[in-house]
Amino acid sequence: MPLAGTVTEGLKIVIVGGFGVGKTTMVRAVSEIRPLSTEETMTQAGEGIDHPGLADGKTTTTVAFDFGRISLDDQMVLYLFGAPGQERFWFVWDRLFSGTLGAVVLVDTRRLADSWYAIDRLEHHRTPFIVARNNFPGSTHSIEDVRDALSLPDDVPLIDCDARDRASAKKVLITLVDHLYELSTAKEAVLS
Amino acid sequence: MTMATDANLTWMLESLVEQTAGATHALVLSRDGLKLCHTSGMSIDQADQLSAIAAGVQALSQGASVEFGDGTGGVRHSMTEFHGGILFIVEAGEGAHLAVVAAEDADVGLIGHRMNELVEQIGAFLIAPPRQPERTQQA
Repeated sequence: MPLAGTVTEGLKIVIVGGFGVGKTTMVRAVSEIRPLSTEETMTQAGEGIDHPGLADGKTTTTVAFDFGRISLDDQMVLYLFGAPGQERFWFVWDRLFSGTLGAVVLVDTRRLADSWYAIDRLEHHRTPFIVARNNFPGSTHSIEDVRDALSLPDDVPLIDCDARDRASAKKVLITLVDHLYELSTAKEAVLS
Repeated sequence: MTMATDANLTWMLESLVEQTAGATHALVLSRDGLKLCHTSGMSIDQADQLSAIAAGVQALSQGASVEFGDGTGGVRHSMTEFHGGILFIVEAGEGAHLAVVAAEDADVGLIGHRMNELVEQIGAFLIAPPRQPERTQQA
């Protein structure tokens, strides 16, 4: 789908989170252009280093970043960058974060600790973010348990999603955009 | 299946660097960004770093090839010139890449030629086979 001529606002958004949490899946699910994917087959060299754990059947991993684009309406288009999850690629993150207006932290409740680094970096960069729990089968925790476990302030939106589903992934992005809008209007209210 | 980390391969990399003017380091890495073997002038940390970097560069180059290439697929080689050096990466055997770091004033054609030569000779050993998917750990 070509970019509409009516677009007036482009927002750079990053999707971060631990290894195997569904970042690439989410970019693929929502992108209206052919997504740039840097997935590589996981090789035997990674045995003992990359632990897919409960991410059953995972055979590939992102080694640079994912890129996709989605128009939310006639005016607004989001440029999505999916960060790589593994520690050895974290050096890419700081570059990806530059110019980013907001982020989605994707979490898997069975491996919440994997998302701490992402939240820490976002707070360091003062990048506004929301948290989306990717609802893998077998997630039993309530969404409020997730908030407690991550010590998330009440003003950080936390929602459930299915990263494979376009509508669900789009809802996550809309939640982020709404959050960014609220933050900017709150800032304006303080300034005026 | 054994990984291609034999002393012989390391020796081949050492001799590539020794016999090629301007070449400083050589490394074989898996496509998912992990070192397989490298020359001794490079620390373990540097080898780990370069493995992740080179895998990322090759994956992004692959994206360029898909979007702007003729569809026959693949990346021949990637070359990055930075202040103080040049990085070359070529595809090696299945699932692996060969990376060479060289001095800024190195002969680019010569290094590329030597790298291709090495891959032709021993590419079959410069491999990182896919993993077998892990069994579910769920009870």
